[in-house]
Amino acid sequence: MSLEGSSVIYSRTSSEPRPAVHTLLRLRHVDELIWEEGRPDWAITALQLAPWVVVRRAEPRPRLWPVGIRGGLRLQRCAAWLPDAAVEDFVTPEMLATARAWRQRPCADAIPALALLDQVEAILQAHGYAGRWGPGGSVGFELASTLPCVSPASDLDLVLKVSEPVGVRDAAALWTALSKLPLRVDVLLETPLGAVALAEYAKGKSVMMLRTTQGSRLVADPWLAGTPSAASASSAVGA
Amino acid sequence: MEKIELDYPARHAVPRRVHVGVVGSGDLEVLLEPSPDQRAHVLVNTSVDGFGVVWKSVLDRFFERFGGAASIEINDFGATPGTVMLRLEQAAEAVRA
Repeated sequence: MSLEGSSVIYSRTSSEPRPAVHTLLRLRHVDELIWEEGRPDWAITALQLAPWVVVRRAEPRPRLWPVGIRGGLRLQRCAAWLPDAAVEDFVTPEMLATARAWRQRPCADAIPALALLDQVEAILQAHGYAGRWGPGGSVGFELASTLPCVSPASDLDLVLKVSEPVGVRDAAALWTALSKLPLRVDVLLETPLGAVALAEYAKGKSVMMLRTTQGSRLVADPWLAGTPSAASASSAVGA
Repeated sequence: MEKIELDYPARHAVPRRVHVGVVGSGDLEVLLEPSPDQRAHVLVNTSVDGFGVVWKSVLDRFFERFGGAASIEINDFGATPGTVMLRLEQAAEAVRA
């Protein structure tokens, strides 16, 4: 299984960015995965259809990537670790956006989450985010793997890399523009510390949830480490 | 889509209505308002089926400490149990603020 069109294929070279959360990794062989809690049959089937996994938000271990496996059903998600040497290829959401990979999908016109990506691109460019955004979730997975998994009812998950603080007013303007699209768009602002939902940040409230590799926590500023609350999601529930 | 309804005893009234969280993948919104009776009522609408036992365990733990007479509606979009607890604690904090 490979990406259609040479413009989307990327080899791993030292000049490429390190795979981060949301990066899709193509694995060499299923047997090289180290499973977190068992090895469900559906996961093997899914990986036979598309040998791609997604880097999940967890502290990396030496030479191991924390990855998630997606099955066809919403509850079919499981966690594993992939040895660095077993990564055959990788693609980031930004690479998919830069390559406009959605234009190569068959039947994209019938699927809003794919068909509207040209409009999404125009909005993000107009707000100064060219090269810093890309599709995540099922759309990112389909564009990387070429396995059809986005349905006409699918939402669109977007990832926006924002290493420098974004003003609440700018965030609200972007959210307003994206909210006018005729489908639900979820945007995660990826800061150096973790991710915050654009929908939450744009409200300008004093507390918001930051997703980090150590779990979720409430913060006042997603670009600063200080927290108004000691509550930590990773320790709150064992399940 | 699955609906889960749970009831808990309450120890005190809740003064105001609060809304925390967002509609978005891996997240949830919590709408909390004063309940007319001396009990807490929870309605969970979740996009992910089959986690009823985990929901009960998270909500049991939250209501052991919360004790407010509130009607709580949770709209979940595949949040982890940790994120659910964090949003519930954020709502409890907002009620006290």
